[in-house]
Amino acid sequence: MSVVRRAAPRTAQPTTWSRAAANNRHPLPWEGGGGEGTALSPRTLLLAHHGTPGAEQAAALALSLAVPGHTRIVHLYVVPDLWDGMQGDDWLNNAWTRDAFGRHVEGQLESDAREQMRGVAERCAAQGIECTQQLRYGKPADCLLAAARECDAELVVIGPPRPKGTLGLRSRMDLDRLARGLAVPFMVATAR
Amino acid sequence: MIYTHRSPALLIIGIVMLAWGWLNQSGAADGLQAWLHPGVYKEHKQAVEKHQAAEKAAADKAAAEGQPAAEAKAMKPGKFDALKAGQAQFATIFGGIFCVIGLLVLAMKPKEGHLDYYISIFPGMAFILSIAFVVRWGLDPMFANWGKAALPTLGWDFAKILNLNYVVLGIVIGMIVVNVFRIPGWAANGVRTARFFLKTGVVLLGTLYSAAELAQLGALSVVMIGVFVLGSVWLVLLAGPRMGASNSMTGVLSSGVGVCGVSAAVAASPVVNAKAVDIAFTLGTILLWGVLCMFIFPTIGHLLGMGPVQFGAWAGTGILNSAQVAGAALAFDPHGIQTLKVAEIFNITRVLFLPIIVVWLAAWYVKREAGAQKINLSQVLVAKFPVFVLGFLGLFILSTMGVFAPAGHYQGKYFSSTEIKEDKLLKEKDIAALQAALPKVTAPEDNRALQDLIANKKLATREQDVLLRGVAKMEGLDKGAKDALGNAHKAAWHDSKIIKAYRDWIAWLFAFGLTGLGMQITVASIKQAGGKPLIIGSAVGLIKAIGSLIVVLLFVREFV
Amino acid sequence: MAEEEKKFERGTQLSIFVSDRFEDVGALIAACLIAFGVLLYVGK
Repeated sequence: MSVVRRAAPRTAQPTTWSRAAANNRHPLPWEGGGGEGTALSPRTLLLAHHGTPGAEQAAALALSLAVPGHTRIVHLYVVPDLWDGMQGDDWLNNAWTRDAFGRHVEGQLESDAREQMRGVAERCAAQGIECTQQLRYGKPADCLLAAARECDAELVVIGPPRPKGTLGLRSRMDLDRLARGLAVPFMVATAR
Repeated sequence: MIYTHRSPALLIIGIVMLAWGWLNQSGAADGLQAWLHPGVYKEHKQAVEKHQAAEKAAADKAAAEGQPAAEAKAMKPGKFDALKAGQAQFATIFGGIFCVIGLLVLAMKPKEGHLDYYISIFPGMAFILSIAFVVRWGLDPMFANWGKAALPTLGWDFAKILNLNYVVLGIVIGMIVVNVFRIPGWAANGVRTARFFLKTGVVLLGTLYSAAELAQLGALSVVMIGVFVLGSVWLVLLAGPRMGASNSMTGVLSSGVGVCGVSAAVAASPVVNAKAVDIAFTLGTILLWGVLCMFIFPTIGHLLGMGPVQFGAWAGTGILNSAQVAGAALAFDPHGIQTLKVAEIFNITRVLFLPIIVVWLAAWYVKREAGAQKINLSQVLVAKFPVFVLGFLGLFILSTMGVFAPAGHYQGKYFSSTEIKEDKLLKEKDIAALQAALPKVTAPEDNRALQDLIANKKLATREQDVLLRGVAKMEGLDKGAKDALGNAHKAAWHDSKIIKAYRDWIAWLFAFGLTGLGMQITVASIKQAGGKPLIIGSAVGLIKAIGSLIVVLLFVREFV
Repeated sequence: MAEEEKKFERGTQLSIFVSDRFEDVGALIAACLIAFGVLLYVGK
């Protein structure tokens, strides 16, 4: 796994932004307007999930859309790059102490990520859906754009923004950047 | 991984620096320098006119006497020439180095290894240094001029009160660069060297202390840091569990807001097994407080008329984060580094307290968390002992042995010394001014010291010097008496060339380091301030800032 | 970890922090060089 901080390619292709509830699906624009069309069945579905309640909504939506034996879910877990500014001005410590801190933080972040990845993988396996996983470090939107490009995703599913006033790390997915940068449809799971 | 970016940036920075050096050397930048330093330029112009007039008078006299004109004497270089020469020398040396390495960067095919790693540091260093040059040589005098120009209209010097000097401007520009423009890829690896240069600066500071100074400051800092560090760590350990914070969050927060900010949180996090989100909340809170304090403290210090020792002690105790302590001290007193000297002793004392706090927290955590790993006391003490403090002590010992400064420099030339020349003794005018001031000095100790000075015409002991420097700051004392006290102090103390050079180097190292640190303060990390750490940290931070201010104003006198 | 893991990286999946192992000793050496360099150049 490498550190990815690439700029997303700009695309002129139209991007569709739709909302669908996990267990109450509305017909999607590319499914034909009538509601009786074929089910959406992407071969590669990119799921952005990092353990928040919103991400759980996204996971549920992705699993409801995935077709066993046909769809592969690519689970993207992003560690936001806010950690870049979290150690810089420590200058009273020895390098050894800072290294110990670096190992500790990275270990914590990595074990959090592994736990979430295991959870999603188990849920996919339970439904017989193939799941591959990616751990990236950077700005969430940039990471998602790069992952979508690399895995040839046909559909991207993300969770809703965290409601205001809810405690958590402040690192938002830049929806505008995503809408402009993605060449494939993306869905935002509704907040409950 | 290959760290070196094949970019012409370093070469370009080197060429620009060389060009600035040449412009100063050739006199082509005189117009700009005159605009930036109008006071110094005015002095220079007057000296030139005086010199020319003297030359002309000598030539006229020679002509009138029918003798051949004497050979024109070269003018003694003044402050303006020294300023240009200094910039030319600095810019030429660093420009040359950067040009050579810049060419190497373009020519070499980087291969993974030490050479690639160390070469990759230079473009970032050049990037920070070029900002430091612009700030120190350009923006600092510019804001000083604007502050003075706006004084009649505003009624206050905004540049001085708001501390718009090279230190604050460097940090602000660093923060703007990282948050608005992002650090260019070719510079990213070098920005981390800020820490290295700050450590170098602290080690070099060891050359500037006398044993008496270090003993006095050390005692004061141990008392103040002891009370406030232990007090705030204890306060957080008390408040955290009551507010429902987890043990690991409380542990990392108590060290962060109690001891020395980010450095302490970094040291304590692994010991209390802090979770990533706890660390983010805590560090965000510390950074937010640190940045606010760095701007607010010096302004309050100026408004309250604090001296270097008072301000250094207050900043050294009250500011949560150690990096901002250095920033605030230099922001308060950018052109002498007296305040930095005081504040850094407090910083060093804090870091010496750190291993003790880490051991305390580890014991506290083990007691409360089942299954927590016990730590080895001696291992922690050895591992956490800051290596650079050893360097500081090493240079300090060499200094007191007289390796760097002329003999007697650190001791001062007091009554017992025979080194004070007759012409350095106080003049009749000074003595008269001091005698007139004597009734105003009511404190018996101060009064006795002043009487001794009047009798001896020079300072008798270091203690007298200490007392009378405090007297010189008294309100209501007339200018003549203040000047007389200043003269007496100068007769006992003087700065040798080498000490001035060390001060210059230290100021540059800190300017560089703090600009680089500014580049590592991201809004994204400050935004993480939140949750219980923000509430507890803010409360304890405020108590510490106000409490230490009260203690300093009540009990700390100017004595160094 | 992929092929990019090398001796100058920490070795975890997330290489956020880069180690500067020689920073402390380097600072001591640099400070001594400056101290003695100034002593030689400027003199007492």
